[in-house]
Amino acid sequence: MMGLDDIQAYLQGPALLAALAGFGLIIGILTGMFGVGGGFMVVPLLKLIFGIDYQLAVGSSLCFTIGASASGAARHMRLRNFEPRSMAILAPASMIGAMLGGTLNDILKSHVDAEMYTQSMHGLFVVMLLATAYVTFSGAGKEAGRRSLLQTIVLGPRINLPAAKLAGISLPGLVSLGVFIGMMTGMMGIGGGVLYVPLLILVVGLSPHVAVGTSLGVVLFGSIAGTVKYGMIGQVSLIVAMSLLIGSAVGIQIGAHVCKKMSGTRLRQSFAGMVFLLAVFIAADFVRNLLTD
Amino acid sequence: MKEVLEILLLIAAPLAWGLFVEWLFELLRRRRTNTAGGNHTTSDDGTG
Repeated sequence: MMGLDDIQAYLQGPALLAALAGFGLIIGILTGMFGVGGGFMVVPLLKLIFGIDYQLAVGSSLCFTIGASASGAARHMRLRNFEPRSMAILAPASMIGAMLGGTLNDILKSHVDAEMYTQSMHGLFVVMLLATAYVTFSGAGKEAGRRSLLQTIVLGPRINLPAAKLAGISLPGLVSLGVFIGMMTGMMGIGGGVLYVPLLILVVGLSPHVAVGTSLGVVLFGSIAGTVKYGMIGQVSLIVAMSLLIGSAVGIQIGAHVCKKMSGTRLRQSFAGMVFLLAVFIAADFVRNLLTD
Repeated sequence: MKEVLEILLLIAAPLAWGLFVEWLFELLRRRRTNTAGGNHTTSDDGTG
């Protein structure tokens, strides 16, 4: 049976590029359907299956996400699954959060054992994903018209989100949400879209379809900032990113089309299922690393 | 300068590709819609 070393030896040259394109197709479907950039899958699988160095995988993944999220966001804008005002606030807030998270990450790593710190962050991420999956799934089918958290908290000034037909959203609350998610991505290196979609639904009150499109818009800006950061240290492979994009370009169209056909409830349930599977995958990798140490 | 251009390329290439593919698919969709909507039978005197 082919082991991972055999797979990596086999995947050279055109075979590698074709495999990346195929992989990109699957990621693209998830991007189009669920509004996630794909980084949470791309990074570990680039490392595990293609044997690409971790930092290069992160940088290339961020570069790939620029194209995937731009394509997905443009598609969802045409479908009117997009809330521009919230995106305009969340995008810079999350970029600031990502910088803070990255700095905090460096400070914490210098004070504790790096390996233990990385494992702890993975463990924390698994817990967050499981909580996200549960809350998103259990929230599915809730009655319409219920006020969201950002509409009920007593923290002004307030803004309206006309594209989503939401009024009285706390502006400091929205900014804090963006900074918080940005910090999580800055500290853990993954999790932008996979955190944005459920939080946009549950905390802001966007419909699942609008949350998907808006999330892609925010992820686009975050991935540009991340690509600049990794590009400056030479850890981005344009070949890997573009190979992934060739496949994902088709996948995104398929995913957006499927998303359009799904009800809001079914979309939330499916998203929760995907997040749960991701948590299981990362937990399995976490346990495997613990046992081999 | 070279480094700046490289980083701009890392942003511009995937962005351009992503937007190009979306535009292409939209064009194909519209053509399919127009073709489906444009299948009218001509009148007997051939004036359409």
